[in-house]
This record gives sequence, structure tokens and C-alpha cells, in this order.
Amino acid sequence: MKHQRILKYIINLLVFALPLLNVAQTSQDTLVYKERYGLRIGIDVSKPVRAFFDDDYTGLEVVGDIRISKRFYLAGELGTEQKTTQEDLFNFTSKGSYFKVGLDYNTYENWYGMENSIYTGLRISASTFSQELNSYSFFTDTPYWQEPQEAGNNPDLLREFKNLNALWAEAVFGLKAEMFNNLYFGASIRLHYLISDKASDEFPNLWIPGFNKVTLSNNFGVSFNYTVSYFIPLYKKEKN
Amino acid sequence: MKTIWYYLLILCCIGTISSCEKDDICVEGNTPLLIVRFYDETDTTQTKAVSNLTIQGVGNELLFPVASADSIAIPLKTLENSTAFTLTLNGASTDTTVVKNPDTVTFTYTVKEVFISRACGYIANFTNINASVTSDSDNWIKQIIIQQQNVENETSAHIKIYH
Repeated sequence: MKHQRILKYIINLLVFALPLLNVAQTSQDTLVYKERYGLRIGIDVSKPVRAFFDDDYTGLEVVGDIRISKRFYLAGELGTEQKTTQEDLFNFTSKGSYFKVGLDYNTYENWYGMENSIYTGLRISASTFSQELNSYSFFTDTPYWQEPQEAGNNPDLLREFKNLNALWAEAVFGLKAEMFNNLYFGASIRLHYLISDKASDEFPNLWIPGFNKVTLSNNFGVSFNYTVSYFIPLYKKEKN
Repeated sequence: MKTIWYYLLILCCIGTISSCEKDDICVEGNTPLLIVRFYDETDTTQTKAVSNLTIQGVGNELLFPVASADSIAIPLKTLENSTAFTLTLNGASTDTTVVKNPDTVTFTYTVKEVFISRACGYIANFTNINASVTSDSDNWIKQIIIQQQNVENETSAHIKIYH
């Protein structure tokens, strides 16, 4: 009797252990490709280059983006610019800083191992700046009293107008390519649309840092940048 | 390859939109001239032509052209707060028997700068204008009336002179 019981026990154990054999068969032997996610930080090299050649301009821009999904990047730019503009009848200097933040969408399908992007994006941007009127002369088509371009002398006008600000939206088109290990070269062109700006009473906003030349008849503007960025990998995720 | 053309098209559109701006010639505004009309002192509603009038700005060698015999438009100085003109009755007369009678009128005002556009920059408006005639032995100008205190346009007379 005792032997029978032991035999039953052993057979039951073996029968119930059978399913466990399955597990050993399905071991993972396929390689899963993971894409790198991280932070890219860089600068716009066109601005210092322009500053080197143009006495009337100085500027610096830092760009960055973070990959948040397979095709979306959270991106932003931070910069400061100063520019002196000579118009026909007056000369002014605009200086200030700006901040842009938005999303980029990568439209390019990367092959395995590549991390380039051709992207479109949107930004919301803001700038605080000041404008200083350096010189002006009156426009008149009857120059009887003075030579044309004789300078005006009102000290209320020949001063710095401070605490000006502006808000605008941008549509961005650009590309970033990995040229060396973790080093990306990028270029982008942007179309701006001015949403609001706070100007002084005596002198309108004619050049806004980050927005560039303001045309008084419409709200559009253009800018571009050429960037060099470095990629800091943070984590990896499956390419699905 | 298709996407390249798509992006090129976008680039062209952006380039076109960004270059849209009015021509850089000032057409939107102008510093206004002072409009002076001459009236008859005995019948104050009637305009009266000044015969052979010449206009010369005090301090300026050149004569200023006369627009018409009973209504002139003269420029005020934008960098100072007063301008004086010598208006000479019979100044342009070629008849040697006629006596030329110069009278000096001085205008004082405040200059106000008005920004017009990127192409124009600033024009001047003249506010709170005052006028006076310098007394001499024989003034042909009998009275000056300020019709409009602010010179902002050239639509109607700012000053009325009775003679």
C-alpha cells in the first residue's frame, strides 16, 4: 500500500511538472533594437560669425531639444542680440534677449543606427528689449531752412526706450544630422507671426531680438539659424 | 525626393512673405507748411491779393516762392521754436517808382515730432502757434489772426493777415 502511494505521488509530480518544460523552450533569441533618447544642447554659430563681420551686430543663441517620443522633440532656444540699424532718416539701436519654446516633429524615417532628422515645428517666443534712438532728422519736401538730414535735437526722443516686449509664434523647418559621434549639425528657417508687442509712444518697435526686422504693414518676419549641438544620451527605448 | 520639393516650396513662400514691405520712399506723410491767407482789413470776409509779394525768411539768403497772391504756404523751422519772415509789398515789382514795403512777421510755436513710418521717420507738427508783426514806420500788415493753433496739415489756412 505504501509503495502504491509513493508511486502515485511521483507520477502526479511528474505530470504537473510537465508544463514547466515549456518555459525552457521560449527563451529570447531575437535582438531588440533600442533607440537612444536624450538631451541635445548646442549653439547657433551663425550669430557669432555675423558679429565678427558686422560691427553693428552682436548676438548669441543657445539651442536645445529633448526627445520625448519616437518623432517628437521638446525644443527651445535662448538668446540675446544687439543691433544698430541705419535707416534713411534715423539711426537706432535695439538690444535685448528672447526665449523660444515649442515642439519639433521629425518627418524623416531613420534607418537603423541613424539619428538624423528633418523636422517641422512650432514655437511660442517672447522677447524683452530696449530701443535707443541715436539720431533722427525731420522729413520735409520743402528744405528751405536746413540742409536735408540736419539732425534733430529733442532729448525726449534721443534716449533709450526701455521695458519693451513682444510675443510671437513661429513655424520652423529644419534639419539636424549627426556628423560625428554625438555631434549634430543643424540648420533651420523660421517664419514668425507677431502676436503682440508693447512699444513706446514716441518710437515704434522696428527691430526685435529673435524676431528681426519688424515690417509695420504686416506681422510677419523671418529668421534662420545654423547650429552645432552635442547629444547627451539619457535612456534607451525600443524602436517600435 | 518629393519632400525636398515640398520644403523648397515652403522656403520660397517664406522668402516672398518676408520681403513684402512698402517701397522705401516716404509717401505717407510730410511736415506741413504754414498756410497764410490775406484778407481785406475793411471787408474782413474778402480775400485781398498782395501785389507783387516777395517772401524771404529772416536769416536765409533765398526768397521763398509765392504760391498765389492771396494765399501762401511757408515753411517753419523744425529745429528752433520761432521763425521770422519778411513779407514785402511790391517786392517783385519792376516799376522803379513803386515803394517796396517790407514787414517782418515772427511766428513762435512748439515743435512736436510725429513718427510716420520706417521710410519717413519723423515729421514735425507745430503747436500753440503765435504770430506778431514787428512795428516799423509803415506797416502794410494791419492785423494778424490765428485761425488754427496747431499746424498739423495743409487743408486750410492757419493764419489770417489783414491789410
